[in-house]
Amino acid sequence: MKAHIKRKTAIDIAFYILLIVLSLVFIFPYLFMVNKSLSSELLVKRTLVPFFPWGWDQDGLVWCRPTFAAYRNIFAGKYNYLKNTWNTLKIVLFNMVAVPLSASVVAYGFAKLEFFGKKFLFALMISTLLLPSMVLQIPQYILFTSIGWGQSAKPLTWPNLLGGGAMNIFLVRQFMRSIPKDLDEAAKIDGAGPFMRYALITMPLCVPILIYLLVGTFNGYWSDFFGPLIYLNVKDEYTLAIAIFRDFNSNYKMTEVPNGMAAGVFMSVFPAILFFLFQRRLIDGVMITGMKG
Amino acid sequence: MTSKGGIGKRILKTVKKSWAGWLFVLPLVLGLAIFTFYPMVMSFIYSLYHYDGVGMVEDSVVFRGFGNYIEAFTADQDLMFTIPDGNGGTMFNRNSVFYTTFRYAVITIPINLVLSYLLAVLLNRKTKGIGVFRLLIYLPCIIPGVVSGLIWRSAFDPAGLVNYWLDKIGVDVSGLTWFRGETTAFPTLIITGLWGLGGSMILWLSSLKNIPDTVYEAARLDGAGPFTRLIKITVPMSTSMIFYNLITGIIGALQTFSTYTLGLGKQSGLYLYAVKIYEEAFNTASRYGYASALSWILFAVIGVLTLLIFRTSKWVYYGEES
Amino acid sequence: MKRFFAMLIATAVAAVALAGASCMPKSGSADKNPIVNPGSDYDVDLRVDDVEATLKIAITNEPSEIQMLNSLIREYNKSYPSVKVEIMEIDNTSSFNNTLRLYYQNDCNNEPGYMPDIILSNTEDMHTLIEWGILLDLQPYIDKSVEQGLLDLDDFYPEMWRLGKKGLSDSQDQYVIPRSMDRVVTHINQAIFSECFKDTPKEELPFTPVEELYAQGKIVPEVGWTWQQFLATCAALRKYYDGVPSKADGYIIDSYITWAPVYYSLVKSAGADIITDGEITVETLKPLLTELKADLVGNRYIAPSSTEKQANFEGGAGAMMFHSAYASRWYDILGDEYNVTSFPLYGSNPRIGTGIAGYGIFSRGQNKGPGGRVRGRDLAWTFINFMISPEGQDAMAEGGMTTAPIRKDMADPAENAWGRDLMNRGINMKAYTFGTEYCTPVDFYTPFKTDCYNSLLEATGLLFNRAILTDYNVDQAIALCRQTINYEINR
Repeated sequence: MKAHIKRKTAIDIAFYILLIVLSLVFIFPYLFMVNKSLSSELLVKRTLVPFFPWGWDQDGLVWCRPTFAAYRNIFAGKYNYLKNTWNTLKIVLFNMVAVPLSASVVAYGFAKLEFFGKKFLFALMISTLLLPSMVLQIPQYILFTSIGWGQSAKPLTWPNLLGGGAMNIFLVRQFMRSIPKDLDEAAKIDGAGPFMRYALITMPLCVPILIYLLVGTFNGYWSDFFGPLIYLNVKDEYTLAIAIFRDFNSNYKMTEVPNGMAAGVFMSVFPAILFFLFQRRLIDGVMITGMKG
Repeated sequence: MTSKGGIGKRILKTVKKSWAGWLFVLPLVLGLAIFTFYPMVMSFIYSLYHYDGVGMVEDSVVFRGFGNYIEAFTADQDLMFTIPDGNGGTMFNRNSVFYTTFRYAVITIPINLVLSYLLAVLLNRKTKGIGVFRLLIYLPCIIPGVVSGLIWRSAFDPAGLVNYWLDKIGVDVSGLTWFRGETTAFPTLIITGLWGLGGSMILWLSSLKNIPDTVYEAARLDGAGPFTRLIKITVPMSTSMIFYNLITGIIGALQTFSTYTLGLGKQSGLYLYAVKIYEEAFNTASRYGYASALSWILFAVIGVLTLLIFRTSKWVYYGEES
Repeated sequence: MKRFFAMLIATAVAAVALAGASCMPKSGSADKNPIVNPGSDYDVDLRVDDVEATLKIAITNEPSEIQMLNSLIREYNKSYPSVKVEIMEIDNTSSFNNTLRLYYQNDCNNEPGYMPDIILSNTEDMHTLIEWGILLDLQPYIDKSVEQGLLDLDDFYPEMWRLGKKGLSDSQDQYVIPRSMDRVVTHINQAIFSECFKDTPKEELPFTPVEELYAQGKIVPEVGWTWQQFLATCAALRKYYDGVPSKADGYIIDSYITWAPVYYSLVKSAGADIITDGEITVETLKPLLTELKADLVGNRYIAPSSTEKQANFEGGAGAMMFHSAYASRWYDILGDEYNVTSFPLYGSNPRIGTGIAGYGIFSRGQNKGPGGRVRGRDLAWTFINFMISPEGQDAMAEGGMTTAPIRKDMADPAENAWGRDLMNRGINMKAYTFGTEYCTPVDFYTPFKTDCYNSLLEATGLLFNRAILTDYNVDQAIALCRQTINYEINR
């Protein structure tokens, strides 16, 4: 008996060690980013730049310490990321209202109402998930330019009022179907119209999935790259993702890395905060996706 | 119900029943029509023309039939399968965008599936604090793409972190060119993609949860070891998720745009198909017609692969009714 | 059931397709801009008085450009105080022309007036803009100005004005008015030079030093030095670098060898060419490519592309740089460490790459002023006319554009604003006027259609990149270049 317990504990310990190692490996990018953002300029001119922000500089003359200079730079110095952040927020906030609203309305139609062509439309919608987005980007761009939305962020926001995305509709529909029917039935008997039933009964019960949608939409549009890349070409209108790309990724220089990392830390903070606040719901939300089989 | 009273009455009845539903799904119908089907059709039509985006110049819209498609396979410098070898002959073009994208998909899809699956199996326990580990492994997926591109670029810089540590343990780093070397760029790209395993892992975890514990209990009582349990129970019961992940994996891998985010979009060994389409349509040229043709070629390839998988999908076990 | 749905889909798609087919845009169908490109023969009004209007000028977002243009605008406003001149900065990291194209689409499809009135361009980039119809043919303005005695073309360097003409041909029309003559020069870090050569006696220096500077302890090569002297200098610098630990991994020169003005100088000096008499003759470059690779990369003077590094002249680590940018741009960064000399003369028939930067006018700019009475392009011409006047050239120099002006009568650096200040600080400004007889523009692509110019330049740049900076087989790189050029010119 004792030997058995001992063996089991040994396995458990080995297991934990493995997990810790794995976690360290996975968390490495974050640590790297934070460390680099605190590195001083002199330090990154070395032939081999160390991990932690402490070290001698290239000529071995100056002992470098961690510094917040990079953070000051991105807001005051050459870069002015507050404006870009605001541009990004405008897009994100609009979508955070439009997407859950639109997706839930459509999902209610699929989940609780009957109408001619329902199965067909649903199947059609699901099949659009297989479309490579590239096929649609070019004609959409031409379409938007011809109606005058060419150099603005409008193509990234307004179209989301029409459905909000096939995947999102699917998720909300799944969720709505798992809500017990009694309340809805009762309300129907009492004579409430579909819209009232949607707004007053079903929606309040959908809070978990709506939170999932909200966070997902935030993440999606906060880091959206391709959309702003083709629609925004004036520096003042760039979103944060594009601004960082143009400043750091496209003419990459090792000496600019601390500034880039500071910008990166800044940009990653918001999704990270949301994630930590809502992680339970997020993981559960993903579980619901998994259940479709 | 007889058809006495005619079609008109039937239609009226349908409308009466459905009007509410139609109203609710109206946004979707409009959205699909305007932003999905219309563009899809137009995209195909554009692909049959030489369509220069400037549009105001003479000759900017010329009908070409399938000329764009032919050009893509025979004359386009980036896509061609054969190139001159300097001695008057031809050799296989190892930097062909087709070949690079194909290689990328063939390597990353299995790796991603298998490794993330194993990770999920590893973390599918109820031990204390397992949630924390799951979180940490998922964390890299929250970093915005642009930022992670920058991180990897600087980590694998010749003066960067990976070389720093390798140097510390005594490896000669002067020959290690990571992203900039002709032969080393591709493996480096694959390696940096591994940090995204957390995303797939979460999906696997959800499907693994659906396998009832009772099945495992029974197997354990029958004397099956952990490895046998994995192969005989876990894998077969997750085939529906494997199916889903395989398809999304193919669609995703063939459209990878991350090399552009790294700032290395057009580099020889890393030139991927989605970047090529972007370059043709929006960046250096504005050859909308040609780029549309390229995107339809992609669509066709994805369509064929998906169809193949669906056809041969008898092995998928659907655990529950959807 | 399935059949029914399949039919439904089929009819739906067919209907949409029909609708779509009728919607294929014709050239110019989405055009909303009421002003059309007037072509080459139109009315010109040279007497535009001061009027309340806005002029927009598009430039790259380099601080030096902005500063220089601001200075020019200030002076311009002295004669035209009511004209508000706005600067439109275009991000330099993505293609300037590309962004203009997107703006042009927006202007025509949506917001006429979005495009700038005046556009900064240069010899390399202007061809595409001309092809797209964005730049206006300025010949009517020039002809009428000459006719009325307001403009004397003899005041300028005709070889330079040619570089703003369509197809770089004297017989064609002018689209870009040059603001300066640019040529490739060698920027020097004289601190590094002085350190390296401080113990070498004068006769043993690999080059002839500038006398006045040598007396002050600054060792800078005199203009007119040869390629052989350049290589010997690199060798000496390499030895010096290897002796200093922080420099041992560094490189000597930012050669910009893949940039057309630089490589084309060497190509022509070597007697080869990429296109000769309309035929592709890329193979003639082989000896040059092999030689450059052995000399420059083999000896570690320039960085191969497999490292992410450069010599980093801008950061003070590199000793030299081949570039055509004006002196004050680097002087502002490097201060007293900066100096300049001419591009080394290669072989017995040397050439120095040249080009012009200048301004063009948007062909479809909106009319300005109250009631739209003043034609936009006429107002824009007043600005450009001012720019080429002595006052304008001085204003640009005051604003930091310290390169040889386009006017012959301002060529002496010691006498004129563009060079006076820097000469007093010991900068060898003769480099910018040396060797005008050797100047060669990059023009090998002119026999062909305009829309392949950029691709030809790209293909040749790629050839130099592959053959010299990477491990590519030279024969293969040449064969690939030939294939690409062939493909592009026959499209």
